[in-house]
Amino acid sequence: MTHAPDRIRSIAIVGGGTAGWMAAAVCARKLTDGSCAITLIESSEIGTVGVGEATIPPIRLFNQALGIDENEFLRATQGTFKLGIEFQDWSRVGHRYMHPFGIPGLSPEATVHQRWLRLRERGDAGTFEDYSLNAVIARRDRIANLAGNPGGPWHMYAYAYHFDAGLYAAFLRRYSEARGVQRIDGKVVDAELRAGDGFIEALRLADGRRIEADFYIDCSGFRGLLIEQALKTGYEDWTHWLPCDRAVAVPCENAGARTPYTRSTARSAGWQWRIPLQHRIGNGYVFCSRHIGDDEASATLLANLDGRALAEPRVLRFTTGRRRKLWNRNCVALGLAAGFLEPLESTSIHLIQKSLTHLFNLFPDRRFSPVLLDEFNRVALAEYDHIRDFVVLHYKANSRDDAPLWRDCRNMSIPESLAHRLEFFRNSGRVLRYPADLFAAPNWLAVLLGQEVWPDHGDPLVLRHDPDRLRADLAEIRATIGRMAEFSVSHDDYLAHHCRGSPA
Amino acid sequence: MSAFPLSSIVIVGGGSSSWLAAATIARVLGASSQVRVLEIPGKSDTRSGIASVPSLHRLLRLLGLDESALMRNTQATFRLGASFHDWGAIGDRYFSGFGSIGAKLDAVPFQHHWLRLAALGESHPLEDFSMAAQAARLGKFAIPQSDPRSVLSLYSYAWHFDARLLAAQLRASALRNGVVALSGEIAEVELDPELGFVRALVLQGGSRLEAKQFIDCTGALWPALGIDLEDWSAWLPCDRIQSLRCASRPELPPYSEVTAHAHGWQSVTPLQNCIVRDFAYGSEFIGDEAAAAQLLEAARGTALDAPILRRLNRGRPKQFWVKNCLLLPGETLDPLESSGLHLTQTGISRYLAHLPVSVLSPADAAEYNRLTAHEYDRLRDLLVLHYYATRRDDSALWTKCRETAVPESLRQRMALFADSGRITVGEDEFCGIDGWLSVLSGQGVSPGAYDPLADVTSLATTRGALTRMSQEMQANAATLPDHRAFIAARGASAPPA
Repeated sequence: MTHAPDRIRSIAIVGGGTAGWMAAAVCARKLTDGSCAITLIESSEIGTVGVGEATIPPIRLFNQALGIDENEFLRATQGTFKLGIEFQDWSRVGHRYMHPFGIPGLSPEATVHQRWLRLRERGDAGTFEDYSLNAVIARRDRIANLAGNPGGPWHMYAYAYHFDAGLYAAFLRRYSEARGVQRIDGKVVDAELRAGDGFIEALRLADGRRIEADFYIDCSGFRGLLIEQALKTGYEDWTHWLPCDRAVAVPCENAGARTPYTRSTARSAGWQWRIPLQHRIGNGYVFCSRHIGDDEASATLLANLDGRALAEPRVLRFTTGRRRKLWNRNCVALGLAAGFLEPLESTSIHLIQKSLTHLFNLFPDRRFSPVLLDEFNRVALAEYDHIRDFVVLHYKANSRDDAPLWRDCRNMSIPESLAHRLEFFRNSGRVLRYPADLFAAPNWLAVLLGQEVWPDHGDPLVLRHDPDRLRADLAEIRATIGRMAEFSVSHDDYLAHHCRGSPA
Repeated sequence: MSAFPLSSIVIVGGGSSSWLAAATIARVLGASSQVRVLEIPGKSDTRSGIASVPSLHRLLRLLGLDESALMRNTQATFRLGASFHDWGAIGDRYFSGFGSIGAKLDAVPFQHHWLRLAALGESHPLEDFSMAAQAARLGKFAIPQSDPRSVLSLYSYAWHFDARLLAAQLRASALRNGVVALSGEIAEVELDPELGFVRALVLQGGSRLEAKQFIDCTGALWPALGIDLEDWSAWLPCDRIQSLRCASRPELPPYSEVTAHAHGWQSVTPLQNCIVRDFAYGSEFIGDEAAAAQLLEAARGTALDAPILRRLNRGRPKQFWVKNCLLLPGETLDPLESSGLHLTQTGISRYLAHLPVSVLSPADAAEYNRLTAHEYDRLRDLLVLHYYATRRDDSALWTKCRETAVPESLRQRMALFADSGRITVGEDEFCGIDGWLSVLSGQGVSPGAYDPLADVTSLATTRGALTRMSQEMQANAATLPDHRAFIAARGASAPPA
């Protein structure tokens, strides 16, 4: 006997969007000994929601773990590089800031923001962006040229990608099928539950087929075919903190250089995303239906495109929140089946990735021990809650006075955990740190300072320094970043030379 | 500079903890802060030996202390971990070493592969896969290598110190950084009548020590601040410890020995010029005099002086930072895991990361208290595990410990391990995954299953990898110098005058 007796022998994945094929690829990569059959069921009739998708740096770890070559991946998905997100009109109309990836300053330990805050009042410290290598390079529409092994603290730099989510799913489908994942074209209509414990016993397809598995992964989208419709897990609604409930999306032609960053522009009833891909730009307007209708939102979106629209605008409805459990009995939910957080900080794919990581850290056997389920739900739900707080901060910390949505958000009550964070920051300019947090101090600082939340006091370690010395320190940091930024190449040129996708 | 909230700091103490705090703060804050240490007679370290953990390396770097000189001046020896005897049952023995145990295979943590082989009847001692344990078993030591390809990079180390000499070295470092030493007994703690923060300490004889911030390593300020103890006496039996210096033995192991005892535990800490025997016990199980007699009996005529008694807290203060006072009570906790200096050190570095922005800084204090309570509570769980996971029933102490339900956080951790061999540990915990694995398995907690993903690796690969690893560690351990010879080569301490 070389295997434990209760091992999972089969996994059925329901739904073939980004979440489904990411799950299939990880299963195929991890379960390589052929003792577990992996099946993915998707219907070619059902479209997937994925449009232009923006990501955050951990996506690189996901691709690396699968052994995916970066250039091949970018070619296959019409992908581009992403160094951060530009936020326009969020704090107030006419104001903009960058949330760059990476770490500000030249060393992870140094609290460059405290020194910057101290001098800001004196007006000679520039903007906080000037201290981010990522932001300085991104603003020039360039990316770092790391191939030449330039000297300097390049670990302060980080990047992710923009890509076409449908093409990424197709790319991972080829990867998965080549490694033994069986794809079934069919529409799941129902799940049979086992008498007694309510575990899923089998899936029934529209054409009458019946599919059995030990373990199910629900990637069926908003409706949550297994996690909600079959298992009645329940949904925690976050609309009172995140009032937007619809989005209208449309791709358009590229015009000008492809920016190596996502742009998010606040509008009177929500915000508009702009995601540059190689062959087009993905656009969308996330809005609150109480403040604007579908037609007006579509018109606003169409009036604010870089180039000609390439399709009819498509409206999506959603309820921000998440399931009360992401793992219930013998089923784990991923992607939209698990919950929905608007893509303001590009976290949709990351949440799928993290749930998969937690799942494989706690991979069950057929006893489905409640200890594992509880641990998984504890860590996976915490990821959602943490990102929720970060997204809510963008709405809360605004000084816009031009529309009711923004006044409401400024005055709304916020989650206790976020209120605590804000209070802590306002006191000393320090950022609360929880060990498992995805968004660490640099991310929170970019948004807090970007949206003009100013602390009452500075860090005593900085206060004791003489302003002239601080000024010299900061000038030196800006100069070093400027020199490092010379080791960069045009984003468009790099794409053209290394990872050009096939023409649209 | 008068508005600077840290322009004056008074530290109450006298032992290693207070000097460690003083030296660190003076080093970081420099001339912007006037730091004074009030040594209270009788409150200095009464333990004779201190065992440390590897986090102390960071502190030595920060303070710019030279390792060899420090060891010479403190009769110090190297420490690879601790050998635990008679804990799970009388006659049991396990080693808890610094550094990693085994290595991941196909991205699955080591213990699952180890458990998989055990389930097939191929049990190996966990210590075969710990470089620290392999070297310790042979009484050997060298500084770990930095090349990650060598198995000799897979361990870390700390030190055993003479407690008084260590305090003296830290004191000298603090004084070099401008700290002022004072001595006296506190007659009165003067509070601000409205806001309740400490304004000054009035000493016997009438002199008055005023400061913006106070740090207490002794408990002297607790009554004035109204500090309550979170009571852990249901789980942690020891509230006393006695220390006794004894003559050296021929062997000089690079580890301490901790032996469970009918009324607590006894330990042997090796120093260059002597060994220190400690006896920690619960006062309801044995009287102080009887404990002293037992400690002397264990010494078998080698005692160099008389046992010294110190009290332990079976609990932690409910708050660690109150108003303008920071409490550093690490040395008052059961030292079974040698956590005292480490707790002082993390307490200070956390304070430096949350320095008060004005005389009172409640948001920072609240966050400091949250993080510190978490750290102490997780350490409590590790201590409780030693007393709870045992089959001993030879005395009232062990029967009580075995039968008391453990804290919920420990119950969850044990359940996850029992269920599937998994261990999860937060970043800021005293003990990492490998440390927990040593204690869990050493005390006889055996999981019913392991990570199913371990089965994906072929059995031949797993067997080969584990065999190679233990053989390579064993072969490399044999090449290391003898611990005593290594110390001698680096310059041993002068013999006692």
